[in-house]
Amino acid sequence: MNAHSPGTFSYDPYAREVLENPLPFYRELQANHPGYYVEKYDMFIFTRFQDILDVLGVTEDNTFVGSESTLPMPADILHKNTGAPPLAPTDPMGPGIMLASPEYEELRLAHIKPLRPKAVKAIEDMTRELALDRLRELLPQGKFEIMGDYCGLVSAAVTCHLLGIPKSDAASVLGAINDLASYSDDKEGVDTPGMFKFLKSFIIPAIDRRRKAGADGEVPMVDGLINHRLKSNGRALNDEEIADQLVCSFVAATETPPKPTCQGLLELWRNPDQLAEIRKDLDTNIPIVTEEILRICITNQFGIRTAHKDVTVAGVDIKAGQRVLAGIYAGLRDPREFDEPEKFIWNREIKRILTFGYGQHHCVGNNLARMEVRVMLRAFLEHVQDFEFDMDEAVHAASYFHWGWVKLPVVIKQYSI
Amino acid sequence: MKIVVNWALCEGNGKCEEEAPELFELDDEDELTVLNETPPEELRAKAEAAVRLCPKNALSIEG
Repeated sequence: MNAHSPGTFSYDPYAREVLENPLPFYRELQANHPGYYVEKYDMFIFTRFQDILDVLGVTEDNTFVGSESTLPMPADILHKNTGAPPLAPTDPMGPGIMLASPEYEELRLAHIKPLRPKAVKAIEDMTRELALDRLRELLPQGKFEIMGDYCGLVSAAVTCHLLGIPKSDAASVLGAINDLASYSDDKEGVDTPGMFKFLKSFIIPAIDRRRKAGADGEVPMVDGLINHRLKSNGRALNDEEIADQLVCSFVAATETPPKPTCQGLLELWRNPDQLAEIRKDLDTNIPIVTEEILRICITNQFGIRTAHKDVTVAGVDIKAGQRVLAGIYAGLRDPREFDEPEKFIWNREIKRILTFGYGQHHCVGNNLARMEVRVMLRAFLEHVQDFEFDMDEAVHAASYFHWGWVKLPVVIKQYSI
Repeated sequence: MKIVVNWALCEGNGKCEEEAPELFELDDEDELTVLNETPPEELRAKAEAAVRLCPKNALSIEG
């Protein structure tokens, strides 16, 4: 059974051939199977743009919760729930992404001040300097791996800045996250719980440093959580609990922005006419092309929620305990929302986007990610007049987490810096 | 028409301000202020666009 045989279509988001190339499956799901049911995981699959908005837009009464993780290992959702599963604990406080309302919203608001629009604008110059520092070192080499050596190190350094981790740790942070976030055949999944545990070894010392410094607000993502008192009982959070609120942002901020940036540059290299257009006025055109890059060059595939109430949404009756999969990667290629969705069109009209999700879990870092992509693209295009990718040495990874290029060697043919 | 903000969900992304600056404003701390909670009917289309484009689904219109 595969995506190409009508009548015998079957889809398992974790199946090997889906990990290798989910695109034909997404096209078939979208065209003929809205709200497709996967018995094995007791889960409904949504791949149409509007259906995904409708599902993620249900934000009332803890109807959908990330209580079994928003990105579970397949082994963790093989059992059928009988009714709503238990909510994540609040004493001690569970990891942020698994929490339900009101603690979920309360703890997000306690630490996301530096991720808001004006706060992000305030670190744009710093980010540009980090990008230029990397380019000054890399461009004279003539050839380098752009995902890790350029973008990865810039994003990791910004993340370190936001969490009060020394920027000198950026390379080891990046290496650890790239290793841990990749799909492992041994474990048949991406071991997010294992990854979170390991990464807390970077975050806990940062929390300790902030406590010793008086948590005076200089590192608001950490200080905000140190100083927060839970509305339900007035208690403070301990280091483990604080780290559990930060680890998801830590991973996302480090490894996510480089992927659209580099895959975007790949699209521009493959579409020289579009690149020439963009080069005519970088100030005006970079923010425009960034939106198309964020539509079609992202690598995240989907997010999962567990229903904690019976609900009918996007035409599907869902019972408490069943799961839903919001296929954002597929949704961003929905012809109902975008004309010729597979085509890269740098200045296409994009009214709405699903890149950062929607509703309760909408990405806290969306402003930061947009800024980083813009700045890294701009710095590269401004200082590199001619480049090409060495696709023979590029590496594409099979995964249900990030599906796309993980290594992209670039050859610099003309530069000035 | 009354604009209702779910303050538990609002995270100051500012899409409403981009869409309807007559009705919404983020202050220097990126906190949202609703400039006119009961706007005139001619601003309904703008208010509805702000509701539709809020990425947190934190806005609604009563009436």
